Amino acid sequence: MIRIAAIAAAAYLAAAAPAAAQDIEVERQPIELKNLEKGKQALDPARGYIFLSAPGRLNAMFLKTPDADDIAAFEIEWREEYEKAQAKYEKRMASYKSKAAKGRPTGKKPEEVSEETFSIGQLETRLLFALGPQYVFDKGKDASGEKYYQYLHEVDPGTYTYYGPVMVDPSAGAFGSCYCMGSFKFEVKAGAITSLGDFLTESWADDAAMKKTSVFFEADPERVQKPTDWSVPASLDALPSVKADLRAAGKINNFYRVTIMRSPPIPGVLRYERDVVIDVKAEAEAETAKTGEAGTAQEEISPTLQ
Amino acid sequence: MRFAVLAALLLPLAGVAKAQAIKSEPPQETFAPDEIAAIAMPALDFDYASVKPKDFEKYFYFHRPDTDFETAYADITECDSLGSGINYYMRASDWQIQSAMAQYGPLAGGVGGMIGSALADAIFGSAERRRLKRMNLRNCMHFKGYDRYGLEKDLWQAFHFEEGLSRENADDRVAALKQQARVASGPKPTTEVLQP
Repeated sequence: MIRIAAIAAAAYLAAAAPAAAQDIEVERQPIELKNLEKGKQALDPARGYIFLSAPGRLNAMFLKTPDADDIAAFEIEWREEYEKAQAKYEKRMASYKSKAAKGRPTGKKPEEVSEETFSIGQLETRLLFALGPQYVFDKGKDASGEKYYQYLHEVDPGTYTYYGPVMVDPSAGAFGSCYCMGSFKFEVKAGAITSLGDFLTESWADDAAMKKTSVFFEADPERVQKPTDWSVPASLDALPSVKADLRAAGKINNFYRVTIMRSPPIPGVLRYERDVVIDVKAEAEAETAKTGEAGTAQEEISPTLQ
Repeated sequence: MRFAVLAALLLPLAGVAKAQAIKSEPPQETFAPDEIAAIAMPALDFDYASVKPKDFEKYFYFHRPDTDFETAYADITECDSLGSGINYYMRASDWQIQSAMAQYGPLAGGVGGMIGSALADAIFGSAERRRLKRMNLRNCMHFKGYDRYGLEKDLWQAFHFEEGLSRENADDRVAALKQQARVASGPKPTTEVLQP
């Protein structure tokens, strides 16, 4: 973390020369099979891709971990906005003093603008985005007659944390639940399709694991437990597909004031000690480092026909 | 200068992180014994039979055995923040918010942090906001291992606040949370432990 601070400081110093603040957001677009087939869209080896599937429509929010560029751009924007606010404050204060000196009504004393309290909001909220429920990549029925809805989003390469099933309508507000008290993250590399498969349906988790997500969880006797299907359709074979390498992610603020919950514990990835998120993979890696065994590489999956 | 503040704040965090626990909480506030003793212990005794069990859906408090005041206060503040959409956790990029926290405490960092929605509030109203907050508190405190106990409405109101569309005054909020922490870290209640 200190290294991140150092990077942030270095990035700020490097970027301190006059530069226009750039938009801080995840550049992304949904990809649709029909557009790939018609040549309206193409998979770009310089970009990252997240693939999801479910038996119904999904809505999933992700948070990109800010990289050094995001932090530097945020710092520039903060500085610009701070200077504007400071100038405005000084102007108002001069007017206030002048009126006071002349014995005229001054109105309320302007509120001081200070570096310690001036805020332009949280960087993280700029890097959140929701995927689904509209813009499916493809939908239909598989060989066993089960419905499927697939989603493919082109995104900036980086690390993404699952924020939970939260849907935001700019005019109506946010709905859903955030995984504010424990979630998972994964890296999206350029030139590959990172598959979460149907992991977000949580069919892999048993009721005991689901009970750890919320005190309000109610077991559904009709819920079918089955392993995650990580497969990616053959129509996406222009780029290699990799199974998302899940890692534990810590707590996150409840930016949208929705209900809070957390991911079920994920075997080999994430567990909880009370409310503390434990990175099981890091534990295993630390153990491996002790015993000197080799780690595992990111697993490549072969495309399958739907 | 501010980056120095950030680095200084991150140092204790790095020290706290043991094993492979992922810690995002700001450092715990510390209190002198006389500061804790000065926080009035709220009255908790009431005629249990005179209260409908349904009322305990709204009026409840938390307690965890073998918990000190500072831990309870940090836990209650965290859950109140999460429940209300107040920013609490530290991210590496939150340098300006951390700086504010260092000087004014965790709640200062949350000012202006919430993304509000006038339309959603107009549709669902204050009661829905309060209901969501109660749900969030129950989840968060349960994850932390606290038990939930019912309380009579008037006694509850003496050291809690309902928060729907409006925000509780920051000073009153802190005062109430400190009293809740006194209770949470105090003697074990003799009444029935409710469903989490």
